[in-house]
Amino acid sequence: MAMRTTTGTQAEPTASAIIGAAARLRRADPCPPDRVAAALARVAEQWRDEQHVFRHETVAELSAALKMTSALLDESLTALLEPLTAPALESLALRLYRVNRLFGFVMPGNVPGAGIHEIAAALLAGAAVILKSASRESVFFGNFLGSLTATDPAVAARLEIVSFSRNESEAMGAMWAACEGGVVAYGDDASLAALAAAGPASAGRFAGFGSRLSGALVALDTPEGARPSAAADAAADGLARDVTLFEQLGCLSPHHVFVLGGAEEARGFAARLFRALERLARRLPPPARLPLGAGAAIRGLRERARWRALAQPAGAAAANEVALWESDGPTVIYDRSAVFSAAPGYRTVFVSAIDSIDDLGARLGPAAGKLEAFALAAPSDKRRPLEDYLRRLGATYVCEPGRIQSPPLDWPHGHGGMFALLREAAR
Amino acid sequence: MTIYDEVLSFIDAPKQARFEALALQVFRHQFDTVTPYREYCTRGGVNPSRIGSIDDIPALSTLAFKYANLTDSVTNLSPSDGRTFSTSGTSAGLDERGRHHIPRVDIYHASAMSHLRRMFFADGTRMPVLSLHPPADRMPDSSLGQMISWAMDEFGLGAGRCVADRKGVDTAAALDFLREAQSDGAPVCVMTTTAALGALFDAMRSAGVRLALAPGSRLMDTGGAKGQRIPLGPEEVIQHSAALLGIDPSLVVNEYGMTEMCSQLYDATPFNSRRSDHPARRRKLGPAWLEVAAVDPATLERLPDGHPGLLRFFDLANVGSVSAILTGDLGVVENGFVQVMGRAADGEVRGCALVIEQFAAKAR
Repeated sequence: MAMRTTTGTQAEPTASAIIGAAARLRRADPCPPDRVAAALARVAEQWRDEQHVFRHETVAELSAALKMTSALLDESLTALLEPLTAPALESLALRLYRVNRLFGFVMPGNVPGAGIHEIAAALLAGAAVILKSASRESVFFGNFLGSLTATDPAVAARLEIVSFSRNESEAMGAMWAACEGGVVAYGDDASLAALAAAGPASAGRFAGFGSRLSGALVALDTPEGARPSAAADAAADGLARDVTLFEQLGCLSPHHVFVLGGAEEARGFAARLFRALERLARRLPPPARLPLGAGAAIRGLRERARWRALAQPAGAAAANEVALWESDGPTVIYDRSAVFSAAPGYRTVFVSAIDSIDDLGARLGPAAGKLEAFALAAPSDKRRPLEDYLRRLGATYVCEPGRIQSPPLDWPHGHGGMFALLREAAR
Repeated sequence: MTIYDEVLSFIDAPKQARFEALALQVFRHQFDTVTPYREYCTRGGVNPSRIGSIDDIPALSTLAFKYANLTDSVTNLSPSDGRTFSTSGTSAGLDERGRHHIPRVDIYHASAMSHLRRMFFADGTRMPVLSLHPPADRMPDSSLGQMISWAMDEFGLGAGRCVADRKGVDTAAALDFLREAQSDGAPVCVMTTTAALGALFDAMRSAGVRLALAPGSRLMDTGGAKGQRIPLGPEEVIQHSAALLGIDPSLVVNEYGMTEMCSQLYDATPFNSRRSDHPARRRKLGPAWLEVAAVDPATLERLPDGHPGLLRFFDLANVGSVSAILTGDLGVVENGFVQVMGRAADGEVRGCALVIEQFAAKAR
């Protein structure tokens, strides 16, 4: 079957388009999980090649639409697709219930490819998928489906893409009616609540991936007065990558880095992180011009930090509460005792000190109950208890710096909402 | 003539051709007399003698007023001539309230009243004033309160009434005043924050009250969504003022002002201007001694007319502090008219979703 992307028109209203897509998916033959895994792995492998035609086209189109440079998009997509290997896909397939049902996906528009983990899980479980692409980013999944169609048309026939506004209640109603397995949606908490409310009252048919924040913890045990270690450099380089990919616009992008230790160590790490971000910006340049809202928000943060820093009494830098590093690209704000702060994206990071690991829980602020991932830089012998602590705080994924944009396929995104939905649908 | 008197003279009789030269003179004065501003300029490598146009003058973020004492500390002025106003502090907490010390409050008075006269009392009519914001005697650190007190003195008639204090607005007392005004059949003026107006409208709806104030009655609101549980948009202010108070839409005028600036902008309506915008996208007009530009937030360069950017002002009336002000508000400038789009959010909890740029209302 050829790739099919359907957009509602006057001749074919969106609701009819969804009903038609659902009918085709019901007629499509089921695919065994090993065949789905092989096809997805093959496509991901193709897409890890920057010259692959569908990927190349995607990067060219998205670069203009999302105001991200091609170099950045290339590296970001490679990181996103990294976990989609044959062994990982096969392993996940073995652990999923078989669900020969239809699921609807309402995709996000901020980060291309976001949601691919859940789509892969659904297809591996034997489900068919109607995917509503985001109006702002309608390229990635269309082209990914193009590759899948060329690789294995039978697997591609398990996926249909439709296009409409999530505010079109008739279309969303048709989506709910057609997708007896459930609806998976990405968005801010308010719009997800509205989407869920528009569905049937029965529980267990909706998985929403809402507003979430990610951060980082640096716990390197550098003795006071000791020379900065190679581990600190590595952590800074890794975190610079975590922050930079996707221009910090996804729920996996760190906003705030907490450094366990004294103020001097935290301030030093902030400077180190800024230098790492600057180095990376030479290879992965930021957009020539930021979106107005983000640019204005970054300007506001910089000005506030600048004037707070200037207002500090003269003395040793280590005694300072606030410091600012800025350039045409990144912004790093050291704010010694700040609570977790949400940044406007585009390589804007807060760095704070914590005296003990227990302080972190008290400093979550707006991120409390909304944590997604944490990058953790720690010596191997200290790592396990810190990972456990971060998970207890709500992090669904804890990783080494530099790995945050490549969560494994069994990552319990949003506390495992997709896996719970599949489990419920299999009953 | 001192620089202060030169500015006062310009406000009294603006000559547009002289604006930029006077602006440059004011900047040099501020560089010499406002220590934190001089340090800021010096850190940026600014040499005042090389500043040749208003666009070259470093604009200072309004946020700086929270952390630095930005006032003329050199010129020998009588302390009794000055006043200090504070921002409400709701956006960053009371511990980070901005302070604007104005060493010659007569210049603030001249600026505020002159432009208010043009934009809100252009017909020369005097009328009783109802204030839904505390006046200067109840809230001496409020620049808006001071402005309303002056307005009551200059444009008011008979017993005006203020029905607010620091704790809130007495909507019952406001309604009594307005009912009485309706019976008198003479026009009245309402000066208010948008939040207090929202409370009045709520009270009127709850009580099932609709009034028809006399023709010529008018309303000025300011502050936007700040402090409102359910924000009242500009279009709703105009509609509800007509429906609940009977005020002609052209006489419902929104003010854009801030503690950090001695001059204000007002909606251009058929009452005060030949321009007539749709209520949903009204544009504002400032006085001749206030220059406004939309600038790129990253480069701070002036954007062409019609392009949205951060609003930057040069306010001659700020002669005793800092005139070049960079706000946190987004807007569009076209032929000198300003459309204010709101304030850019600092940061937001970001989901796996399309991130919509969020704007919060400006803060006074």
